[in-house]
Amino acid sequence: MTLQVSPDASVRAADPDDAGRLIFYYRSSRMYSALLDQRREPVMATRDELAEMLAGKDRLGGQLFALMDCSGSVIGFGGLRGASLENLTGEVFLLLRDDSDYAASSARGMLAFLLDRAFGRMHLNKVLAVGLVEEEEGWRTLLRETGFHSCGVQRQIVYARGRWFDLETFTLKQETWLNAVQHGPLPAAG
Amino acid sequence: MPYSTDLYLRRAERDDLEQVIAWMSEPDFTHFLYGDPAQSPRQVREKIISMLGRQAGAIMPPAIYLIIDSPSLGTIGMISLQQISWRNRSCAIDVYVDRKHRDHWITAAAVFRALEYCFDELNLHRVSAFIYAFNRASWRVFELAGARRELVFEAHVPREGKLEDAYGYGLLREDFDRVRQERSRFAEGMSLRGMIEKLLAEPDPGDPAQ
Repeated sequence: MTLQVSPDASVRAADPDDAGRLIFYYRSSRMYSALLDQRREPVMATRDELAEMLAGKDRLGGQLFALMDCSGSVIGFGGLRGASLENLTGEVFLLLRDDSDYAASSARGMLAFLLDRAFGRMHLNKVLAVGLVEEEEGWRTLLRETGFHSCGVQRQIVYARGRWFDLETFTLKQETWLNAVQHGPLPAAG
Repeated sequence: MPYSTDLYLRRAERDDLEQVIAWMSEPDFTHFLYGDPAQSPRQVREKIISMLGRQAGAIMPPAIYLIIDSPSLGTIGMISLQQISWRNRSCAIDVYVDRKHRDHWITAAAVFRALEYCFDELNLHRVSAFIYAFNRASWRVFELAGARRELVFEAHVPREGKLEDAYGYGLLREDFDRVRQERSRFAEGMSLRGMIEKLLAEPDPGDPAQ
């Protein structure tokens, strides 16, 4: 089942057949904050591991989605992870090939779809997101334009490619999102 | 007369289990440290117990639990270094000091010892701490050690029916070295206790009450 999220893009739940597409991001020379683990280490996954993860019952809690263009080709992935019962928060992430892709309407639509799930279906109070400073300007701009508020930057928290990376953390409160959806300019998913 | 402390850190072992479980039963333990219902007290307990006695030198452990001990005062508290990333050379630190020993200088001395262990023994590059805003004594100690408040989470943690703010602190090795250098200059001819008390008496620039 697919859901239209923008005039030129739709989403569906990711499945094991997506492992071959997902691994592209793990093997990319670009750094993606979405692929950092809990300790903020880049994960080096194999295709088999990804297929197993995508076939698993929880499939990241059922929260990993593939973004497709008009022709049905997968152009990215996005999801929610790390939902906490204590403070009803979760972390949203979006994996697109190039940093400039985050300015496209498909990226906005995908993010709106994920936030709609987080706040509307999962009833989270707050959604977090992280972005690598310098590496993910497009993603961080999209977050700011969507209403996310920066909580600050953690210095030199990731070591990769022979250097340190800083990581910016953002939050979006449920009330901010609902207010934006009702009054614009944010796009409502679906 | 210079004050000397006999406070030291050692690895937690199975004999500490009873004391550790007693601390975990204290309301303060969940109030200040592990109040996440996503992790039941049983899960937290099992995690800590599984780490007790593990051979830290033989493997690259994801967490290290240290006991703050003193020949004169006895077992004082526990420090946990969690989410240790040997690749990023970083960890997250939690400190718990027994209520009866909870004065500024013991906590500060224990935290300084733990940070020395992180940077000088484990060769870490960065230590992070996630501290609730109402736990002012703890975040002040980290600030005194050179840590910067990097993250502010507004209305983030529910405590007693109210959403409290939380702070994310980051301390790089260079920050800690700078503070050690500066403080050693101030500390010449002074006692450790006197130095810490003087530092704690300094006004907090972020505190509107001061």
